[in-house]
Amino acid sequence: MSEGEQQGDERKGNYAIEQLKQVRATRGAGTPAQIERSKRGKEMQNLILKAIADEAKTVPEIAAETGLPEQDVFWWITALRKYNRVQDERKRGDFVPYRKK
Amino acid sequence: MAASTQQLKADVLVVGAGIAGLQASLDLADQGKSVVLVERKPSIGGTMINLSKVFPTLDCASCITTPRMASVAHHANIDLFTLSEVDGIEKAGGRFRATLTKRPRYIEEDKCIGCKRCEEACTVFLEDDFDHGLGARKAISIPFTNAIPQYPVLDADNCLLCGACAKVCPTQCINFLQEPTKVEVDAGAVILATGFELTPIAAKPQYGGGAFPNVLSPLQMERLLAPHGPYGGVMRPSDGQTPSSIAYVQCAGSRDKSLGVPYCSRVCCMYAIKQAMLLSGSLPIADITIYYMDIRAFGKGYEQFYQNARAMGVEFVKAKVARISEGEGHNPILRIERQEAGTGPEEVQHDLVVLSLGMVPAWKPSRGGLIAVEADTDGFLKSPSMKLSPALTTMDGVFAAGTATGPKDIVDAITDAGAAAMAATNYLVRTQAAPAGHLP
Repeated sequence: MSEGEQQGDERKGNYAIEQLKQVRATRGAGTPAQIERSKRGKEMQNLILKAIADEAKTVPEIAAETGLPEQDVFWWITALRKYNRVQDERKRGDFVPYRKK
Repeated sequence: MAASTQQLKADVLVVGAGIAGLQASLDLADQGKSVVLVERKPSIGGTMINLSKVFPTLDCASCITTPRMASVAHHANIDLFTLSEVDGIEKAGGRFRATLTKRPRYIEEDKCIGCKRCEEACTVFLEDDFDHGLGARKAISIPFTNAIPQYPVLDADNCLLCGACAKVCPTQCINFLQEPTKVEVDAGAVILATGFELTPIAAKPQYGGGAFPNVLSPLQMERLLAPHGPYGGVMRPSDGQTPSSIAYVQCAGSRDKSLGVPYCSRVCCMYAIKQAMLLSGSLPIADITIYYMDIRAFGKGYEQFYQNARAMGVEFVKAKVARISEGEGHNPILRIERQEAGTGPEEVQHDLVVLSLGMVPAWKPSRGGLIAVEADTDGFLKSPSMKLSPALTTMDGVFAAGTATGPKDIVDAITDAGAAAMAATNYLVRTQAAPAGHLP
């Protein structure tokens, strides 16, 4: 996206700035637990996407490389797959390898 | 605080937009009756839209439900309120006055074009209710692909107010300041189609209490079997492995006095058999075992369906599962005792286990709040004339449809909805013909 287009998009969001200020003032922008969860989620996404950037890997392989629990890795793979960030490759044994799109 | 109060007059108020509520609304609207249909979730469709296929025909569930959802949404005689709850209904002079609260979607529906750009931009990932926690959604999202209405809903409890959604919205339809609104409905009759919930998986600590990732609820398995399920196939939530051995534990939430559910939920045998058949199709080399007390295949074509499953190689083991523990690699281990002479307790390991949970009412009359109708001993709505007029409740002019009166399969829920619509029409004719002062 060019800088001009980006500035245009930001202007589109201006209508909500006052609304957001008002809501943030009344109920805050998330609890500390929600903010921490979001931060941890971003870290896990980045680790997983980095692990499968060049080569398709199965959930146990990604878990072994990143040190994350297999269950968490699979949940994030499912999430990233839904939002088109990850694609399936041909099945290897009982596991599907995943690759970053 | 409510911003404004909308006033509506209708022939019938229908509470709940699952398959029974949809069918009752359509039957009434097609007769020319005006209907206000209220649904607490952001989309109509109920549990049925969540299913993969239906027994015993193995028809696609969403192919049956979606056209009805669309018909309801576009019907000139139906006013639809999603994300709305009935605060209370009072009867006066043969008619009913209901107060609804419409919760904010934080979207201006007249501007939204359903482009999903807000959902793509959102950075907050949450467990998806539609996939029963197996998949993910964003803090602003359209509830599922064929949701009606096709508008996103912003989860204000989890939104971090970063404004990313508003920045990309091409129609500037996101409104963070929306407030709940009140609606008052003056209706001639009421149909309660409040539906069911599954018995909570956490209520059975001897089966893991919901803590084991590879012990699923039947609705989670429905999502894995659905064409657009969260994983794109049947896999184990613990590690993404394709399971080669799957077990069903029958009566895991029904016929169980310890849970306060002494009754049979009527559908568990059939949904387990259906899922076993679908699994046989999608995982041809997997072993599928159903541990059961009795198989209750009572409906038309159901016994044949059961026999077909046996012929396809599904193993039926008459045994009570006492306990489920977790072995290496999150493999569930079942402690069972076969109901055969000369056998003792044994332990069997599977890759994945599904608990056939039972049905409990989604709204219990004993909880109060909605309307003063009586509950039966099982907690569902009491029907004073179950054999002759199953749609009746203990209040004249209030009718029940679907699983509001007890566990039912889809066929019976739809039949029931037709009966409730007809009973409501009869009530309207009777009350409209009655002279003033002689209303029931």
